[in-house]
Amino acid sequence: MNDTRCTFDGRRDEVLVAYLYDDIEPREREAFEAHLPDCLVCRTELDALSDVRGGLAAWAAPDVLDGIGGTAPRSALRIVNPESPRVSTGFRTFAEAPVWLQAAAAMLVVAASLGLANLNLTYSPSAGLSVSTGWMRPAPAVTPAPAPVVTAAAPAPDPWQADLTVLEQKVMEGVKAQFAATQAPDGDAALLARVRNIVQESERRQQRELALRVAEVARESQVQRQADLVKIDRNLGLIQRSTGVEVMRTQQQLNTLAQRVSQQR
Amino acid sequence: MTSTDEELVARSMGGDHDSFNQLILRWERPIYALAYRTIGREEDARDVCQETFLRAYRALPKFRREAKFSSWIYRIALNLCRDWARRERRTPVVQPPEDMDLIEMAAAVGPSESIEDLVARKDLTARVELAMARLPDEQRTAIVLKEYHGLTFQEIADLQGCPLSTVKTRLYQGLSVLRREFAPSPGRVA
Repeated sequence: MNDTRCTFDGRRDEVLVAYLYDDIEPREREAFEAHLPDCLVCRTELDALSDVRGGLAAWAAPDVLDGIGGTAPRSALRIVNPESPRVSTGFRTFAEAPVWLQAAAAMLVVAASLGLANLNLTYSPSAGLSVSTGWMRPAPAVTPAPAPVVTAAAPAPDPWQADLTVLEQKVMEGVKAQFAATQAPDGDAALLARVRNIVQESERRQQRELALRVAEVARESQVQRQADLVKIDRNLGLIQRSTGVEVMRTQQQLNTLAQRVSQQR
Repeated sequence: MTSTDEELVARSMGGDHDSFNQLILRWERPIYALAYRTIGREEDARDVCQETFLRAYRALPKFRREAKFSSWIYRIALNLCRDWARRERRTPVVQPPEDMDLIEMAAAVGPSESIEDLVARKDLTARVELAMARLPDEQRTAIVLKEYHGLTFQEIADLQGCPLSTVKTRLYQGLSVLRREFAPSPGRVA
């Protein structure tokens, strides 16, 4: 059998890979296993590709223990039910506030707008709802009547004004309560603990990085030292060799000279 | 008792968010590893991983249950990786993770591994990353799916949309290139 050329059929590369990964049809396996003992090329390549696979095993992807949202907890990527009740006490947006609070705020806005627009909104069971402008204009001067003066009793305050005041207070209390909840000391403590954890984690990472760098430098210097030693050794060998050659030449010259001197005598 | 992917998918399709979250928990590591090894950037791999699950969640009603969930999610991730490569118009950049916990890796292996071995292992990892980054996309993806995710040749062929024999050829060619890359250079001092 020829040791330098493979005689397996045309799909040899595919079969070799299939055999390498143990993902092969039984008939192909049988044929390839029968071929292997006689083919040095296939055996060598199979060993080499197995070594490559061993090298590939060293390539670890960074862990995602911290969550794929980065340093956020692992639950960073989760589907949450938008209809589920929120545990959080703070309202991030107006839309998250309770309905009664929204209604009260809307009424406040309407009342304030009416005031700004100088509109008078009155309601009486007999006249119904009436809207008039200029209610804040100063009243015309009253000329005293010569007849016996009948002083009109001061008009009673509108009932909606009292309701409005109550609503306003309620809204303010609600807002204050929410503000107090978000400023709770527990929140501060948790934030502080989180910051502290981040700082500690950063310090640990830096220490690890430093240790690694030191190790790398040590290794590089060791490699460099070994390379230098090899060079020195080689240079010394060269010098010794050239010195030896020089000594031999000198010896030969001395011998030649001695022979000539003895011949002349 | 642990539910199968198929059971979790069925419950997710019925509106059970917890079941889909279990699928995320089960598959986020493999998908992230696939994205990282395919595009080579930690941050981008995270984005791809998140986007993969978001797309899967949105497309869940269209999911045909005769297909494997893993194959489906791998396909989404690979498409996103391909989009990323097109968008970036460049080959994967090998970038060691910022917080590569080699010390912890060493601790996980055991105290017997010296710092020398650790650094040597890091060297090897860097060489593998570089060599993989130089491979053509199809070869690299085939190797990643086979080597690190244990997919069958047929599954890879389905994902890559090519014949079975092409997958084997891509693997053979890719591994042969890596073999040359990993071969010790003659001038290297031991």
